Parts: sequence; structure tokens; C-alpha cells
Amino acid sequence: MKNFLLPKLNRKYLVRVFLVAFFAWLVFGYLLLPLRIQGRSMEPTYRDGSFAFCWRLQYLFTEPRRYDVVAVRFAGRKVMLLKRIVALPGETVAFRNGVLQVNGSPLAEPYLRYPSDWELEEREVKEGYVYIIGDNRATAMQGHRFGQVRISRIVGGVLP
Amino acid sequence: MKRIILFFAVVIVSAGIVHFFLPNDEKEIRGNLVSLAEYGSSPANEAMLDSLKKAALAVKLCKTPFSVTYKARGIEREFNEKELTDRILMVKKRGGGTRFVFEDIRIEINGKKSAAIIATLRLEGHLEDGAFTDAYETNLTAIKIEGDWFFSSFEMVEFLEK
Repeated sequence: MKNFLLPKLNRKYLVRVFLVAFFAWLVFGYLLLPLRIQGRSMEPTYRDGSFAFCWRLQYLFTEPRRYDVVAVRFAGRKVMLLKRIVALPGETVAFRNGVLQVNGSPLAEPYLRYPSDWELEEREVKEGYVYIIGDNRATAMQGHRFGQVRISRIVGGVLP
Repeated sequence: MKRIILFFAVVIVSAGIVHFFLPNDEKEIRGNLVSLAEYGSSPANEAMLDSLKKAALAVKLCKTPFSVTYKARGIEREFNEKELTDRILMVKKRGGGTRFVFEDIRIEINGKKSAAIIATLRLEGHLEDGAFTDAYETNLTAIKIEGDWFFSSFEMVEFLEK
């Protein structure tokens, strides 16, 4: 116990400290980015003030899929948008009476809790893009950031 | 062996000190961005005189005519000094209690007299129904005139297409 709390500052101990610091820097700086959620656009899935991680290797070998929650970059990785993919390249998207329609049919969205009144004309998702929206559609549509975004802007998937 | 390690340690520390304290173009531009964000921010119930002072200081960091592009708001033109001051005052009045911060700043110096800047502009503030936060990708350009850097254009990048 004494050794655990007050270890001897020998070479072996310093190497251990260096390795732990190096792996923490590598993992949390580049692979598993800690996220502090600010804003209510992903409620109730992610609440304002909660924490999550962005797993940057999620799309290394696979393409983004529908229902994935992803982190989308602005100029860098310090501030990112957190949204859910609802439509893939080539699909059409529309809102009718607050219900999201993909390819002309209502999309099952079990994660929604709040009613919505959004209306949006049908549009097609371009190649190389995906359509992203937040889970909280109770806000006014004009005040909610959503739309199609280049896949290359996706930094990674969000865990948990 | 110990002397070699000591020598390299001294070299690394000296290089670090020089890098940290020596002024350069990139540091000046970063400093100007921090000031621009500070002058654009408005504490709740900011006095009109303070708003005027801050707007004037923000305009001093810019070279007029100053080009502004914000397509979502239908703005794509050059502003003279008065127009720019009025626009900053309007933003400050509308966004009372809003704090602006530039994050993820990338600066590319082109030659010695101009620079391209990409940054995320983060907004934080309070509304009647609680705190709000928002972010935008921005492109700025800066030019060097008589040793000082001035911003010459500002663009809001819109990467989401509804």
C-alpha cells in the first residue's frame, strides 16, 4: 500500500508514467475523443451537459449507416456537431406533418420523444453526402441545424 | 554521456522558450482573432458607450472596404468603415449576453503580406428559456500593412444543405 501511494521514483516507475501519459494522449487525443454535449438538439438521446466519446475509427472500414449518431467537424475537432444519420446517398428526404419520410415512406424513429410539426419538400441526398438531423424536433425547424453533409466531414461515430 | 543529454535538454528548452516568447505573424493574427471575438461579445445589459467603444476597436482590426459573405442571410458585399461599425453594433445589440470565441484556428500565411484563416466561431449565451450554444465555420483573410495585420474578409461557411 505504501509503495502504491508513495512509489520510488526509479527508472522503471518513470517509464511507466511516460507510457501511461503517451497512451492517454494517443487514445484520448486522436482515437476516442471525449465530447461534452452542449445544446438540446439531440435530446433525449444526449442531454445538454452530458458526456460521450467520438470513436474515430468507426468508419475506417465501413460506410456510415442509417441511425448512426455521428460527430461532424466545423473547422477542426474541438467543436463538432452531433447528429443522427437518417438518409444515405441517392435517397429522398421530406417532412410531412412532422413525420420524416425517406424514399416516400415514413421512417421508424424509436428514439424520438417530442412531437414535431416540421414540413419540408422532398429532396435527394447527393452522392458522397448523408442526411443528418437531431433527435429533438420539438424546436422550430428554422432554428435546428440539419441537412445533407459531405461524408468526409464526419469525424467518427459517437459512443455510447 | 550525461553532458550530451544535458546539451540536448538545454537546446530543446531554449528552442521552446524562443518559440513561446518570440513574436511572429501567426501569433499576431491569433491575438487579433481573440480581440475581435472579445470586442464582438456583449455582456448582458452592456452600456451603449461600451458597445460603441468595442465596435470601434473591432473595426480598427479590419481593413475597409471589408468583404462579408453570409449567404444564408443574403449578405455578399463589401462594407465601408461606417457600415461595418453599424453592423457590429447591430450584432451586439441583437446578441446581448452572447460570447464569441474562435476555436480550431488554422492560419496559412501566403507570402509575407497575406494570410488565410479557417476557424470555428462558437457562440454561447443565455435566452429566456435557458443557455444556448451555436457554432459556425468561418473563413477569414488578413493582410499585412506597415507591419500590422488587418482582417480583410469574413465568410460564414455553410456545409449543411437543407
